[in-house]
Amino acid sequence: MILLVGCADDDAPLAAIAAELLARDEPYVVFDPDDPLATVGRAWHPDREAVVTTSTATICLDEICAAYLRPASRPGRAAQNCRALSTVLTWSEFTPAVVVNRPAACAANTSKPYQLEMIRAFGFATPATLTTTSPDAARAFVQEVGRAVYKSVSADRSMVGEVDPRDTGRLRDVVHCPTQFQQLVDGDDLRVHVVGGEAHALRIRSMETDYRYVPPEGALPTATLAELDPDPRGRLIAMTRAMGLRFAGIDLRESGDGTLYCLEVNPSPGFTFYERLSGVPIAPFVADLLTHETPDLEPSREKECVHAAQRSDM
Amino acid sequence: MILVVADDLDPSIECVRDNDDVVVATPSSLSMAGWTLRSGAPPTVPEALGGAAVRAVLVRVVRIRAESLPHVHPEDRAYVAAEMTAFLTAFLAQWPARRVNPVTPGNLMGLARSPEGWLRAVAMDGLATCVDPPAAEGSSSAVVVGAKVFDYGPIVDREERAAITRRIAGAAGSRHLAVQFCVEHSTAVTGVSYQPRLDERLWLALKDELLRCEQGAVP
Repeated sequence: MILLVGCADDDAPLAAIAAELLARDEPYVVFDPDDPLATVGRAWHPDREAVVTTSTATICLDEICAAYLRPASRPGRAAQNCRALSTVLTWSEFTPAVVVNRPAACAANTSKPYQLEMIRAFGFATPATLTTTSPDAARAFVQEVGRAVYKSVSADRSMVGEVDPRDTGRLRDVVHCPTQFQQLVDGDDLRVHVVGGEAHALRIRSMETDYRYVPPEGALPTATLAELDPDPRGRLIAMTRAMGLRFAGIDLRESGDGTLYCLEVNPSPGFTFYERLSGVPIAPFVADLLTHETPDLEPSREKECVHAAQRSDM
Repeated sequence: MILVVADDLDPSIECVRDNDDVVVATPSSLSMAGWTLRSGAPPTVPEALGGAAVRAVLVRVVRIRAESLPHVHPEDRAYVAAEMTAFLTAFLAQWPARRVNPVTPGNLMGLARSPEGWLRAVAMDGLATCVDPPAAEGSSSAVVVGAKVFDYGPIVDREERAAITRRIAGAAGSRHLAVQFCVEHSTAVTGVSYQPRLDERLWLALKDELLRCEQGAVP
């Protein structure tokens, strides 16, 4: 039995995986964090696995062989049953089942500068990045790199915008909250979906600073299949695996001189956006992972991703 | 100088505030000019919080909570809290200041584990757990600080509890955490916490542990 965690009627990636499994006649069950009837039927005990019940099913977690997690609640709603969701998520950290992806492995994406250090450790170029509460430091950084964007530090989705260095009033505001500035690298965007041991690359062209947000009068971005050289391809797959992820959507930018800058590794990619844009299917590969991938041999505890560059004087 | 990152409501702050070599940073301290984090460069702390004189850090918050930011517009609090948490995560990871636990994304104090997650980890390590402690469970805990263990439980089984506490801390890569034990079965674990309430002897041990490097000891 495959477990899908998320809002199947609202979340396009989860719905796409459910449709793919249905087409293959693979049995699956959905745990919706917003289900008001979701509850813990039997709590975990060292001698037996937990059971959660939903409005439509009883889920014995020890019968789950693979799981696909998109646990975010619907916008503006908190999960109806935190205890049941917590039970499922805690199970997902410790189970030997195939999990795409374990929450602890996803957590690095909640701090972009933290994740950027992990990326740098894999030898990828990253844009110069400053996070600060000092207006003077922000001003000096923008002056130094020429063109810069600001973007959220956390996983909270925000529109990436270019900094206008003349807008000194807004730069003064950084004193209220640490704000992230990043060198703007001109070039094409590449989106690489790493699924298990495979990497599927798309080249994206757009007139916008952030191609995900196109104004009504703007032109839609285009996405076409791209070829990756074996070296970066291999490193992207190795980095994804080392981060404890089985599936990731990696954002890169190729500068005019051919340098590949790695911007972010998304552990819960909204891949259906790219399927629509390019016509290239991703869902079947994820479904393959869930149905064919070998379970972890020794998953017994969550994989804490303390990045290599972390200074720990332990 | 030790920087203690704590919530305003943390009762343990009172125990540390009177020290000349301690500066307390509360969530609102993140709305202060002087925090910088740049890829490939050492981070900087505001001068008002000790600046370059800070040698060690003790973190007492899992994350920055929206409720801890009364100076921020209510509509922006949740977003600002998430941004501050994300910033501190990266900042602490890159900061060469001495600390007792490594930061992980999800918990500024150590591993991001739910109460059940701790019990699963403890059980998988072959240690006894008590998942349904009696309702009238009292407090019985042992706190590790470096090589020392402070027992706040009954006289019996103290050595065994100290060994269990060290083992859990070691497996978690931690030099400071508290293990709660069952009152009925005094060596069965009921929970693990990074936030024991500090008393004078715990604080002195922590201070000693955090400043050990400066005194010439081998880290």
